[in-house]
Amino acid sequence: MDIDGSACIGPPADDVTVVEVEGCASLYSPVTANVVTLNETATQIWSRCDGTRTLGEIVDDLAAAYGVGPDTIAAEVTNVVTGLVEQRLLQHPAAP
Amino acid sequence: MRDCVHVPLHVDALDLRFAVHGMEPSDAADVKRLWAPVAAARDHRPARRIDVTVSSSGDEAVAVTGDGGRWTGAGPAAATAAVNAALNVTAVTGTGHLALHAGVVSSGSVLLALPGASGRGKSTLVCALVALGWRYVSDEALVLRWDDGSVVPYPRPVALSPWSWAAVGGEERWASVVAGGEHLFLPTGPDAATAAPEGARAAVDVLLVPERAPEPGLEPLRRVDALAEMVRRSFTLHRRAAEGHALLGDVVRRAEVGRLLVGDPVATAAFLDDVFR
Repeated sequence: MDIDGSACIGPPADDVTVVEVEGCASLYSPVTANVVTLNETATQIWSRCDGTRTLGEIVDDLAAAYGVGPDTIAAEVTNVVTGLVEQRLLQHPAAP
Repeated sequence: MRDCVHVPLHVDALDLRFAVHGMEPSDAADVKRLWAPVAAARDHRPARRIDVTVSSSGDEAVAVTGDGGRWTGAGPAAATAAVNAALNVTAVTGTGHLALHAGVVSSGSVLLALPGASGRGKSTLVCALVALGWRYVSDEALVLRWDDGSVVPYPRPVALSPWSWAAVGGEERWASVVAGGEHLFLPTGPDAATAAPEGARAAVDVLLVPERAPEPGLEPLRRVDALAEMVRRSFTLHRRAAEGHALLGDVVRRAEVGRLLVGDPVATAAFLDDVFR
């Protein structure tokens, strides 16, 4: 799945509930009975998928937070976001 | 058609009332005895009806129907086994509490929960712990009140295979009904008048996710992974998903959490007894 670079990522799907424990998010959809746990980095990505940022903006934001270049984390961010969309935990990215 | 008890058998479990119709008196007495610890004071709530019918064809086949489904069986005590299954499934899926698949025991102030799917040896391990003096809370469900996450005991009858029954020394400890090829019994301790844990509002102190292994042991487990296991095993979480997810999050934050390597059930029980009591 390719994500449109101009589309905003998120927000979370309506039915998804989120609980964060020790910096790691637990995502649960009672509709699909799907439960997913995220590591700390993926949780940071998830928290930025609020429907106001594009994929590039999320990468830039995280790169600044971790003090690394965007190229270092771009692939991981893309993978995490793609997985969350495919599992219907995030709403499908919509063009602005 | 066999003789049936004219007065329905009433069983209360997890704040639900059941009226079982059509059991033979001896089977009804077994069910009543096996479910006695969860019986509640009578009130005027409507009862969920469970009907037992015995085939007139002479093959002793039994069918049990209720709003939780349909169960069938044949042979000695088939009605007892089928009614037991019907009561259990309807109780854990119909209860107004937050219920999830887990074994639960307590000792003094320690309440230990073992969330996990069927087939991980929870029931045998729970009975092996009771044999060491732990109190039986449930081999089937961790049941939590929505308001504060405190534990509601669910000491339903346990069903063990002949192998498990022998492994935990069942014959010397407990009275069982052999039904459906399994031993059906209440693993209450010798001094347990009630299976309820001490204290009015007990919380989960230790949460261990069981996994089969050659030898017993403990391994670290992220709290968020323990939370995921509880969510996966839930019976009723979907009804109040956000509230329940948050409540289970509170449980894993408060409790000691780990992965339990389950080897031989008796050795694993001795290991847990050593570590936590």
